[in-house]
Amino acid sequence: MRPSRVLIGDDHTLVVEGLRRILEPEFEVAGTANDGEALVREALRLQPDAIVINISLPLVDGLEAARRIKKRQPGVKIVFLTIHSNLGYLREAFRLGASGYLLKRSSGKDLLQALREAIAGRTYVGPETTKQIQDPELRKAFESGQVPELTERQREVLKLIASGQSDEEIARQLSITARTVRFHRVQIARKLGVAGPAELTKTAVAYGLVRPEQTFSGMGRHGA
Amino acid sequence: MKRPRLLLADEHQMVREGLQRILEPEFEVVGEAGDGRSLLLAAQRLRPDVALLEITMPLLNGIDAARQLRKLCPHTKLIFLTAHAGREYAIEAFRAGAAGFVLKRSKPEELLGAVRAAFQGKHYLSPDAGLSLAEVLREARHAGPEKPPLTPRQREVLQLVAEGRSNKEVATILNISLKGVEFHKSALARKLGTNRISEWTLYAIGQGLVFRSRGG
Repeated sequence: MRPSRVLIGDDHTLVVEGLRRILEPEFEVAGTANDGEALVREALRLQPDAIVINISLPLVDGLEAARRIKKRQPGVKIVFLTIHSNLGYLREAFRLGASGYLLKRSSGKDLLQALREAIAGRTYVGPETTKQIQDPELRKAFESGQVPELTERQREVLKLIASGQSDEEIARQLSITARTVRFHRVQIARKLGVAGPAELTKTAVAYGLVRPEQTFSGMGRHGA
Repeated sequence: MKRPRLLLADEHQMVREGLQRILEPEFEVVGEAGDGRSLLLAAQRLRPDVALLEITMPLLNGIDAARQLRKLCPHTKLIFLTAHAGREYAIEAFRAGAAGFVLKRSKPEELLGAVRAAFQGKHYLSPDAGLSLAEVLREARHAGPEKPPLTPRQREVLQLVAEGRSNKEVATILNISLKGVEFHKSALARKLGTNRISEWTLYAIGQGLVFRSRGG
């Protein structure tokens, strides 16, 4: 039986070439793409069995590229390989019809397994991704792709948390009570599977709700 | 001739495994590390000829690890292999003692060339880094436009806090007392002008100490 044909989408050529060497004993690497637009083009041209996609692609990100590909080629199997362990991305991935999601901190063996599962018509979520979810119900939900969404209000609160506002300040800004803010905070942490101001801030940045200043050589807005 | 001995440091195992396959035909990969602290331990234990390291790594970032390695393992040539393409990163890398700076979007041949160059005592800089090798070496010779605002220890504490670790965890990882952690955090609060962890995290992200979402 011929080996399954895989397309790889990642903007880091060294990563792509490394993945090629990991996959080639078992799969045929039909092609590669360094950005989301090229990935959609190559998917149409090469008609692969499966695509390994990095979420953070230039021009068009991996999630959007996958959406477009799935529209015209619903049968192609998508496996996301990413640095983002944030559960919001995992939710998006399965909502658009992905078969697999694993982190780059997984091993090559995990990727091979993910592709086998995907091509066999099953789903795969990497062990590193679900490990961080303490709540067993939530973990089950994520593993089956049924992931709770953040409400509009929760996104608002998250943005303000990441901007460094206290619960009282947020309450005043949104005309709600501080207790309600704390309630939202708990719900947000539960849905995202993260807690604490550091993790919430990073999530807000990942969602594009807030931008860190590029302060490499200075203090940015705070001064020394 | 004996093959040069390499140590690979990158948070992501998938990346390390791929790199190993790219490098193995020509070099001997003697070890790997998934974070900056393991890198320090592995480098001292294995004494590799060359170490490849990423800038953003858990526990201790590549730039700060490089500064320590320069003293601990002066014979190990350091090559940054990174996703961070800005010229400031390149300058900081060479300032910290790097022999080479290669972007992850480069082709395998370029990485192999950089390792060969480092092994021969030469410098290498990816053409896409946004400045020439001559320029970066010139910039790197100066301490920088202003004195570094945070001490190395403060940067270590900042990175761990931005990674979401408790004071207790920070104390354990850095092998200092809880009071020591609190002392450094007060200094950080003073220098950063805020005691809000969310703002510390934004600053840490801007500095490349941590990635935007958990796990890198």
